[in-house]
Amino acid sequence: MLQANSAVYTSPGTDAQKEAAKLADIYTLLAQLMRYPEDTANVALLVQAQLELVLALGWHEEAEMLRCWHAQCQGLPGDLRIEYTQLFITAATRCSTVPPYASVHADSEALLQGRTTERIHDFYRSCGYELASVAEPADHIWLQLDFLAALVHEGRHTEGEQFLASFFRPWFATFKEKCFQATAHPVYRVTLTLIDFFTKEEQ
Amino acid sequence: MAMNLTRRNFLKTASIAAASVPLSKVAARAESGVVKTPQVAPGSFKNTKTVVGGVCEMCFWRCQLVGKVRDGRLLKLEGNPKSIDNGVSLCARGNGGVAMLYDPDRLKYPLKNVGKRGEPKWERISWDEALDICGKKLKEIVDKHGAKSLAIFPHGSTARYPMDFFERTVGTPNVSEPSFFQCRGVRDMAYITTLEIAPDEDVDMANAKVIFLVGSHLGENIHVSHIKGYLKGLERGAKLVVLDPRFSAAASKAHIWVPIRPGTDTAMLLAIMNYLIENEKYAVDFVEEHGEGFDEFAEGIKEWTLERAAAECDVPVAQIKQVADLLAENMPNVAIHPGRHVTWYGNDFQRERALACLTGLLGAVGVQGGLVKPKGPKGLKRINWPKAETAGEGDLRRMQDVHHFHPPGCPTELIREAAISGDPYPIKGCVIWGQNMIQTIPGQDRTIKMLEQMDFVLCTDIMPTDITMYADILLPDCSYLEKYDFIKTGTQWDFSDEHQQYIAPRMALVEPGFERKDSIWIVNEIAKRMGYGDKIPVVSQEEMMAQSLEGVGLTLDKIREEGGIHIQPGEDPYGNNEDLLVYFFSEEMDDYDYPAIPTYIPVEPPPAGYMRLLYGRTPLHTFNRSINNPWLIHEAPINPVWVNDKVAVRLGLKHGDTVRLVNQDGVESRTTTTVKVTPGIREDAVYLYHGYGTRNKEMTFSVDKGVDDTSLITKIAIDPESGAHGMRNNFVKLVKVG
Repeated sequence: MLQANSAVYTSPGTDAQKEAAKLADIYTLLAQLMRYPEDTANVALLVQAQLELVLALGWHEEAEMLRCWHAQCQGLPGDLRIEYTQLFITAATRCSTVPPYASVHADSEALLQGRTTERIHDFYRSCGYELASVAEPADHIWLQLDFLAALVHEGRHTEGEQFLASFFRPWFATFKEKCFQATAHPVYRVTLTLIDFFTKEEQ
Repeated sequence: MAMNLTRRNFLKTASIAAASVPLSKVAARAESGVVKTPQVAPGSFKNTKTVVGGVCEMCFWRCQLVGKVRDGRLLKLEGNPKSIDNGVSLCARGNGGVAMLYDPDRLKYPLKNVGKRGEPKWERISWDEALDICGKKLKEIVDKHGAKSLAIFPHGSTARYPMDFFERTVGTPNVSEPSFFQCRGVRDMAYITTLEIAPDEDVDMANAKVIFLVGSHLGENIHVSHIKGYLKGLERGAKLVVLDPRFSAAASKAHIWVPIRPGTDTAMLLAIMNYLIENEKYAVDFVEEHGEGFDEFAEGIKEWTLERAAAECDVPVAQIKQVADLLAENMPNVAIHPGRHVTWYGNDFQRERALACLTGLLGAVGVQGGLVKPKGPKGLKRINWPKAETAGEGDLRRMQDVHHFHPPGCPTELIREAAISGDPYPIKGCVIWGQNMIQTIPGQDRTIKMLEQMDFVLCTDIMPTDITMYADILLPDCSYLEKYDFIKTGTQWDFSDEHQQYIAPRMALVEPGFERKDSIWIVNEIAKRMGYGDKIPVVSQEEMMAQSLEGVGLTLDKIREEGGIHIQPGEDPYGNNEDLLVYFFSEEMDDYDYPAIPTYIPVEPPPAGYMRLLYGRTPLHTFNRSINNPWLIHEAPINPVWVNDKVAVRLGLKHGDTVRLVNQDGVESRTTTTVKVTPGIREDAVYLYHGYGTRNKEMTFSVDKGVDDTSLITKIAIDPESGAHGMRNNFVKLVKVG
């Protein structure tokens, strides 16, 4: 099996291909930021890349938030691990966790492995993708972003847009709002803002 | 944010290739969560399969299940059509297993508390790190203070293997299963003392002429095959007698409802027995053949006239006589139900003894409609940890020479007291497995004190229950739908049917999600790290099952082929009384200076302005165990407090008013509930469904819903014979809110 991120576009290519490659890389970065931060070196790389993306976008306020956090951070990846756990896995003494699974926000029953999970998983398969060996349900946000990265990398914009419209956007806005209520952590607030920017519908 | 910038423009124009960390480098390092596979047309994964081998554990009746599974996802649970126990029926909780499995609040990964106990801050950690910490900390405590310095509080089938490891191989005597100790344990010990039979709930209601319930609220307390027997008995014409201060579901079906004063059941039982003896309306031949100490017993309960009991119990003489006569007319085919959760007043051993004696007096053992032990399959091998020579040293109960009729394990209160006081020795490590002690043991502040003084607290559970807030390490267990850990055996529920036996090993219906692990794996890994690797009896849950089944010549595969349940010919359970003895007078109890004949010990009446706090089950929950289940909490979101209609008028309360409860010690309920105004409860009591009022915010479906009755049980009563807590000796008043 091929890795989804194997390079389809190599430089030099057409402008469209370069833009697609860039967007795929951004989705990959955002997917990585929405995974549990395990590896110290990788986490450092991710937060640096995040800052540079924000700077490239000209988002000075967000860049400042990230810089301040980085300056005060007690140590990576511990700070992010605790925040990730509180926000997405199991909190206890403050606001509730916001599970990063589409079915919890999109389905009326708000359960894991709901109908939405199944539909998303089916869509991956219909596009020729399957989950790698991961312990998470198919509708975890990082898996959806990885899937988007893979589609965009292959230049399958129609399917990518179909996925965004049918599966991603319907739950992401609610999820983002709940996260913003639950956390002030700049890394996650900025990541969610970036996801919003790179997945929202543009006319 | 520069909002005028569009994504398209950014991708066209911006260059981030020159960044110190190019995105391409991040992408190149990333391991994707999706991989390329041959394209699959939609609809190819729509084959729903029936997976056999499920054994429910939403409660502990353990009905047999099948799962409808599609693409690894459980869609629906049904009763296994092959079952001769629950059949195709499941209760609401059983159906709700799907929502338990996929509850987003469930524990998913090992967690380390980097905050404080009670105010945790969790960090997800790897299994290796979690197990290393557990092994190191527990070993340090054992090395420093001895095995007895560990306290183990297990519950359910998941906890049997860890309990055996810590009790037998590590050797701590401080093992208590509070949900058993404070539930059925007292009943079993009282019946064993009286009839040498652990009764479970083995009364042959399906074939009884009278069903006699003391506080049992069948219909609200639902165990499927048990309820089938109960309803079949009623259908066949059994008369139902219910003693209950509340007009319960059972009372609503009763021929005689006795709205007895709470705490006086033993007085009424003694009066019934005295009446039967004085009027020779008991099973004389049976008692002559099987009774021990009958004359002392008859003499000892003589004082319990109908009139005296009537005054004590607030029940008319005529009604007590009516009940006694009904039992006599229909003996021996009477089902004197032993109850299930029986730890009410701290004098419960005596009440259970009285029930067992009444059973004996009516000759209602081993006969149609009586107490009948089913003859289930034999031969399953019990796999166990090896017992250390030093196991059991430092037994608190023996050291204090108390509670000589205790259920297996150590009385919970003795462990808690020793841990808090450090006397007679320190208890510094705590392992809690599938047990929410905050809502099972009265005196929550003492439980918290006990945990706060520990050097290390390990919790393993499927949910972030209130007790898990006090863990240092919190491990995610597999649920009963994701593992192999129990073999349910039994017989057909109606003994008038063809006699059959069944063997139903629990098989996983779906793979465990996230990083959940089964308890055998977890305990083995901890054992290795504590230096007991060479003592491990089985390497996996599947091996455990295979070895157990070897004893009866079966395999998991064979039983799976048979539909998940092995059925074999059974035996007639009736008429096996040759060796039966009924200890009306117990010399053993006399030797230990306990009342040797069943004795009524009055309980304190409610202080002026207060009502006794009673609690029980809703059919939609197994107490706090299922409280966060999204489907079930949707159907029963709070526990309204039942208040007598006349009392409500006096207090100015209307149906639906919101109230807070305040107990006799001034303890207020943290949350509120609504008032259910009804004539169906006595004026001196109020009633709540137990298990509500969760405080852990991570139980998002149930947090702060209803009132936690356990938080109001601050006055501790201990049953002297058994050491179990009595939990209905507290009183409340209602304070209207708003």
